[in-house]
Amino acid sequence: MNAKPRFEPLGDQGLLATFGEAHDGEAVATAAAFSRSVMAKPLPGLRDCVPAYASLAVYYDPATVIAGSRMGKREKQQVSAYTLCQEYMTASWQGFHSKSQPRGKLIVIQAYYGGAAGADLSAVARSLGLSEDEVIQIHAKQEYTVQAIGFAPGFPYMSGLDPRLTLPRKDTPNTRVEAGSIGVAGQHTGIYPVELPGGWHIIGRTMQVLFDPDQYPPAMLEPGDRVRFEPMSADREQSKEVSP
Amino acid sequence: MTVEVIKPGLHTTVQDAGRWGYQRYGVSVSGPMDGFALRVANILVDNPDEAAVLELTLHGPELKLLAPCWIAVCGADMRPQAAGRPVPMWRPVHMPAGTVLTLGRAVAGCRAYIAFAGGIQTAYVLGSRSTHARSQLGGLQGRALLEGDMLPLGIANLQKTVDLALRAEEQVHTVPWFVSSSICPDYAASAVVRSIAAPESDMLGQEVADRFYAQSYQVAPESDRMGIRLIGERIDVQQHTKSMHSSPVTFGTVQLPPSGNPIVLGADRQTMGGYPRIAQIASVDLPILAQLRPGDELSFQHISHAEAERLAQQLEHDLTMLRSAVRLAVW
Repeated sequence: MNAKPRFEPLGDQGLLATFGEAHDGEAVATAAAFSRSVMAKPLPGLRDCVPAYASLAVYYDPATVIAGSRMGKREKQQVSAYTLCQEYMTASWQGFHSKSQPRGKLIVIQAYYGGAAGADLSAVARSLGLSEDEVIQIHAKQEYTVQAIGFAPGFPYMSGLDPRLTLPRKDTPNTRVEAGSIGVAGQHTGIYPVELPGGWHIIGRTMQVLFDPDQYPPAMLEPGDRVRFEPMSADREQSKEVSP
Repeated sequence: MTVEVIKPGLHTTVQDAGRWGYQRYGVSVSGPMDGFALRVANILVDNPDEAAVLELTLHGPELKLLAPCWIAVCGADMRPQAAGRPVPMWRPVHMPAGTVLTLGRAVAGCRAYIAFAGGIQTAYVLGSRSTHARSQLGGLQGRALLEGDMLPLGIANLQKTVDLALRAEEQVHTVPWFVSSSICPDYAASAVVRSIAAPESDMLGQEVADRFYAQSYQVAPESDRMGIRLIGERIDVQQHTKSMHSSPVTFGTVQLPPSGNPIVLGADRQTMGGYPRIAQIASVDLPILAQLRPGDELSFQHISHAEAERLAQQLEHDLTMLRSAVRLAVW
C-alpha cells in the first residue's frame, strides 16, 4: 500500500497532495483514485479537485470551508481554512486507504493509422528505423494510462509508450493539428481533442469525440483511465479499391 | 432587457466567478482577472457574487442600453461617459432606456468591469458564463465581443426597480455614496505583490531567491489573461532536486521557464504546468497583478502563508460588510 501523501499549500486557497514520484505508475493511479474518492464526498467549499501525474490539487473557497466547520464564532475568526482542508484530506485518506482502489475505466479508441490521417507516420518510421506497420503494431499493442488531462480541454497525456517509439517533439510545431489526431512525443502518446497547434508527431486519427462541453462529463477520458488503440484499416483499403 | 454593442473595445469579454469543477478534464477556470472589482461591481447593483459582468481591457466599448438599468463600473479608469457627462465609478448609476455608455482608453489600470443589475444572461457552458477565448468556451460563442452583439440581461432586484419607477427620471442618476477607497487595492502604487512559498521555491536557493525578491520586473507586451510575462535580470534554479513533471498550477502561480524570466499565471491559465513553481501571489494581491499594463513595474514581497490567509479573510469580511451597507443605504 502507498505511504501517506505529502500535503502542502498551493496558494492561500489550495492544497497540493503529492503521492510519490511522477513516473511511478502506482502513485499516479493512487492520485487519480483518491481524487474520485474525495469528489464523491466533498468538503463544503471545495471548488475543484485536479489530479495530474502523482499529485492532486484541491481548490477551495476559504469562507465556505470555515463557515461549514462546527466552531464558535470567535474560533472561526482564528482558524485556518488550509488547516481544515488538510484535516479533511487526512481523514479522507484514512477512509480511502483501507478500501480497495477502483481502477480507471478501459476505453478502446478506433485509430486510423498513416495516410492522410497520420501524416507523420512515414517520417516517424524512418527516424526510428522501423517500418510503418511495425510502428502501428507497437503502438496498438500497448495499454496506456491517462496520467493527466491538460494543455487543452480533454487532451490526455498517456504513459505506457513502448521505448522503441520515443522521439523528441518536433523542432517546429505544426500551426494546425486536426481534432482526433493521435500523436507521440517523448514517453507519451496523446490525442488532440480539438484542432490546435502542436508539436507532437501525428501517426493516426480517431473519429471518436474526446471533448464536448454540452455533455457530462465533457471529456471522454480522465486521469487514471486506461486506453487501447484498435487499428482500423477499412478506410485505407477502401481508398485503395477506389483509386484506379 | 438587452445591451447592444456599438463598439466592442479592445478585448471585452463576459466573465463570472469562473468555471470551477472541470479542471480535471483540462478545462481552464477563466473568470475575472480582477476578482475584487468584479465582486464590488456586482454588490453595488445587488447582484449575486456569481452574476456575469463585462471585463474590459485597456480600451473600453461603447454600449447602448435598450431598457432602463442600474449599472456599476469598477476597476481601471476608462473615463466612462453617458449623455455627455462623466459616469462616476465605484457606485451604482441608473441609466434610462436608450442611454449610450462610452468608455475610452484606460488612464489608470488595465481592466474595468461593468455590472448590470440582473446580470448578463448568456448561456451557461459547464456551469459558468465565463469566456475562455483560447478554447472557445462560454460568453458569446466563446469569444470577445464584436460590433452588433446583443447581451441579454436578467431580472434585477425588484425593490430597486420599484424605487426607480417612482422616481420616473429620464436622466442618468446616481446615489450619494460610493465604495470607500480604504477597502480597494492600491492600484496606483508601483506594484508590489505579496507572495508566499510555492512547491519548488526551494529549488532557487537562498542567494537566487534574494535576487528574485530584490529585483523590479517589467511587464512584457505579450502578457494576456493566460499569463503575465515578466522581464528582468535572468534567474535560474540552483538545485534540480525534483524531477519536474507537469503538476497543478493556479491563478498567481509564478513559474520559472528556462528563459530565466518568470511568468505569473492569470485567470485563463492552463490546469497544470511543467516549469518550477517558485512563488505564489497571495490571493488578496491578484487584483494588483490584473491591473498591470505592458511596461509597468512589478516586484515581489515575501509573506507567510498564515499572513496570506489572514489578509484574504479580512477582505472577505470587508466585502460582506460592503454588501450589508449597500442594502441598507439610501437609494
